[in-house]
Amino acid sequence: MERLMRLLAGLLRRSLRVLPAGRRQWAEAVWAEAGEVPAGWPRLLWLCDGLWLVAREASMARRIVYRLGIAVMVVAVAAAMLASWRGVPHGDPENSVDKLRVAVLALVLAGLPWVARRQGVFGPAAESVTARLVRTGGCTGLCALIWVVVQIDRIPRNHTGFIIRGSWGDGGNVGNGRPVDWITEAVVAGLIIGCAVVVKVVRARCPQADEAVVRLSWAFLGVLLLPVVMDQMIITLYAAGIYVLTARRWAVTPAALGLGAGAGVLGSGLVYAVTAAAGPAGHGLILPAAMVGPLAAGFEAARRAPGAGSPQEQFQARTWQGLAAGVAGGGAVALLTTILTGQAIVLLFIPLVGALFGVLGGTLGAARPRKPRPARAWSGGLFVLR
Amino acid sequence: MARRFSAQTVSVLAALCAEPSRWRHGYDLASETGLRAGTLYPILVRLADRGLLEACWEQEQPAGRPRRHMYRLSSDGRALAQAAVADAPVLARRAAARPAAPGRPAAPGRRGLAGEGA
Repeated sequence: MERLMRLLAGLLRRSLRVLPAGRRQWAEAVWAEAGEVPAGWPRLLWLCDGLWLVAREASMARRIVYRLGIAVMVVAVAAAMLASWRGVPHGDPENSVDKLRVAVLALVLAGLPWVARRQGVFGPAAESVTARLVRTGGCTGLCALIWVVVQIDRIPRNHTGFIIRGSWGDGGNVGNGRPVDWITEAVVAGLIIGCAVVVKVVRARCPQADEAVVRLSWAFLGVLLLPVVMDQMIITLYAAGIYVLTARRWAVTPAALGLGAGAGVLGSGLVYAVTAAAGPAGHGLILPAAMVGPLAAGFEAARRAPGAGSPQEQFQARTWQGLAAGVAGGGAVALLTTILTGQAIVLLFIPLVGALFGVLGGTLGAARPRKPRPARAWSGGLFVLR
Repeated sequence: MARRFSAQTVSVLAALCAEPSRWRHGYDLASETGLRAGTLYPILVRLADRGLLEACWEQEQPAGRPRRHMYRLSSDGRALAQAAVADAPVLARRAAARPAAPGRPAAPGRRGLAGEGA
C-alpha cells in the first residue's frame, strides 16, 4: 500500500507538466495536501482523485481519442497507398487512376483543414469527444472506401464476390486492356480549367458581381466535374462534409453527431446483415435505412438541442441540429454500405435523402423540445439549470 | 436562462462562507463538506475562474510538509455565496452542514439533490 501511494504521488507530481500553466497549481495543491490525508485508503483515493483532476483538466480523453484516430487514419491512407502500388503493372491505365484516387484522398484529408483554417469552415475540430470520434472515424471510413475501390479494381472480370459474394458485380478494371483516350481527357481537363479561369477573371474584373451568380458558377463547375472525376469529387465532398459537421464553427451538438452517425452505422449494419443472408435483395434496405435512421436521429437531436433566443430562433437552431444529424446519418449509411456491399451509387444521393429526412425529423422534434435536465457535468457541477 | 448552484457547490460555498475571511485549504474543505478531491477541486477551479474565489499559496515554508494552497471567497463570492446558501434547498443546506467523520470525507448526499433544479 505504501509503495503504491508513493507511486501514485510520484505519478501525480510528474503529470503536472501536461496541464496548462493556469491549471497546474490546482493539481499541485492536491499533491501537496496528500500528506494531510490519513494514510491508507483515504490517501489512496485522494491521490487517485488528483490524477483524475489532471486527466480532466488536461482534456486527456479528447486528446487521446483524437490522436489515436489520426494514427488510425494515417495507417488507413498508407494501406490504400500500398494497395494501389502493389501487384499490378505500372503501365496499366486503371492502376494510374487508382493511384490518383489515393493521392487525392491524402491531399484532401491533409489539405482541407489547413486551407480553410483561417475561416474556420472545416476546423478546428469541436471540443467534444463525439465530434472528434466522428471526424476521425469518417476520415478512416473514406480511407477504407478508397482501399476497397483499389482492391475491387484488382479482382478479375467475371469473378464475383469481394466482401459479400455477388455484391461487387463483375470485378474491376485493372488489366482489362482498355486504352486511355488521352485526347478526350486533355480536352475535358482544358474545359474545366478554362471554366474555372473564366469565373476567376470575371470575379476579379467585376468585384461588384452578384455573389449568387459567382456561387452558381462554381456550383455549375462542380456539376461539370462530377461525372468526369467522380471518385475524386466524392472524396472531396465527403471529406468536406465530415470536416464541416465536426468543426467548432457550426456548433453541431455531440447528440446530433452521435445520434446521426449511430443511426447510420446501425442502418448500414442491417443492410450488410440482410445482404449477407439473402444476397443482393438486401440492397433494397439501403433507402429505408437512409430514411428511418436520419428521421429518428433528426427528431431526437432537435429535441435535445439547447435553445436560446426567441422561439423562432430556437426552432431554427433545433431544426439545424436535425439537419446535421440527418446528413451525418445519411453519409454514414452511404459510406459504410458502399464499403460493405459495393453499392457505390448510393454515395451520390443517400446523404441528400438523409438530409431531407433529418430536416423533417428536426422540424417535428423542434416542436416538441425536451425539458432541460440539470446539467450534470457543466463546469464540474458548479451550476444546475432551472 | 437562470442558473443556480449545484448542491455540491452550495456545500463548498457554505463552508467558505462560515468564516469568510479565513483562508482554508483543500483537505479542510473536503473534510467539512464530505466531498472527494475529484469533486471538490473542479468546483474550486470553476469558482476561481469566475472570480468568486481567491487562491494563494502559503507564504512561509512550513517544516515537514509542502506549502498548502489556500482559498477564501472574494467579495463578489461572499455576496453570491450568501444568496446561494439562503436559496439552496433544505437538503443541500443539511448536506453542507453535515459534519464529516474525521480523516475520511463523508458521502456528500448527492443522490436526490442533483435533480432538484429541473
